[in-house]
Amino acid sequence: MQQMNPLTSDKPLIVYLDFKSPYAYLAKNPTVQLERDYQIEIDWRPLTLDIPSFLGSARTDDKGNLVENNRTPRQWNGVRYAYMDAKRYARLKDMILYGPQKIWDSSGASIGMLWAKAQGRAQLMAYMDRVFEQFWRRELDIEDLKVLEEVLDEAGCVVNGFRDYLEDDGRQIHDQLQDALHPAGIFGVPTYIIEGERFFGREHLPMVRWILEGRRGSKPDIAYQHFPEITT
Amino acid sequence: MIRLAIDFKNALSWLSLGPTRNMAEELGVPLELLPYQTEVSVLTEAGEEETVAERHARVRAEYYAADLKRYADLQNIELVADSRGVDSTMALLGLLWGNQKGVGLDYAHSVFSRFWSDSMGLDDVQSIGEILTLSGAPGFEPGAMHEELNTVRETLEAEGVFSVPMYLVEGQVFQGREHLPMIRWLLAGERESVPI
Repeated sequence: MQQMNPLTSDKPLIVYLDFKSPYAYLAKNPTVQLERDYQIEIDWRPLTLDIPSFLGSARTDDKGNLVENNRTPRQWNGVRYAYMDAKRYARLKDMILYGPQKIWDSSGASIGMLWAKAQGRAQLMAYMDRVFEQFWRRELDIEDLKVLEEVLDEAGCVVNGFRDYLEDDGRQIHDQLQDALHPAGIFGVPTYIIEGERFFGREHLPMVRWILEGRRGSKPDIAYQHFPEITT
Repeated sequence: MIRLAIDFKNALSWLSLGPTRNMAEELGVPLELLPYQTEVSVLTEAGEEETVAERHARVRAEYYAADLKRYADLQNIELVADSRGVDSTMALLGLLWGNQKGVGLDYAHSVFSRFWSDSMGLDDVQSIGEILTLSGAPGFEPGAMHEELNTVRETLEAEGVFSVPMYLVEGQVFQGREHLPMIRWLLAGERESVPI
């Protein structure tokens, strides 16, 4: 079993995502657009966030009432703003994004991503689309193995063997990659690795595109920006 | 109208000023800078018994320091000063004084530029008074502005501000200059396609 180097790939661009991040969800489509616009293949990888370690933890009931709270006021400010901000942009893109009621363990969905990736790009894209969309509609329990198997099946993946992969090889590859991320300076999603440089957040897409275009013209500043599709 | 909460010891505030001012001038929209004192995160060294939370905070802080430099270079901005432990109250009082006289933007540009190139301290009353005079707001009396500084903070927090730079536009709050396309879209009456 070969261990992944967090900063290198045979593809020109590595992108780290976590299904439980609203910012990763918002970044997915404009990032996929890079593949079409620049005729490249992206090396998609999972980064399973350990949210309580940096944002504390909390849990709400079905009515949105707080039933568990281990966050400081400063952490709450950041979390509340982040969801408000993500929802604001999601609404404009006709994406449904409900706030999660707890902090999910997305490692199974991350390992599912590795499984789908090994089966082909079409399967990976179909899996990512389904998991993101259904999870953020609160229609997908990403901690349920059977649910993950169903999504993989819908995405066109062979499901036989996933259960073992989730517990053995897949878990090992996933955990080794996660352990290697902090030492490589990677801590959040979406993260873009291109030409050895790290960019955290979709606000860097103008810079990523500038690099993919051969660093021509002035360097762009950060921006949440729409790019018309490049047609040839 | 764009209201932008800033702190002089916050480098992101400095990086947001130029692009925001350019956009406001282009759109013909007034821009008001509002003082908001913040804490500066301290970059910690990797320790032998570092917890996951500490390691995450360190890696994140190291990334942001490098990222700041990358985009500061883009604007030819020098980030030499050490902002840790700096009390920016006096410079923020100066901003209120400058705003009263309608010269807050020029004052802020000078203070940011001098502080971050390590040419002045943010508690240096004499330098602050000189910059205000050069900007067209002589006679700085910091004592007269303390109460207003607290009031501005309370008002901003009631509107959702908790950090800097934060924008207050059309009843919405935005953290960071990456939102400028959205702000431009809102101020232009949402006429063009959605900017994301």
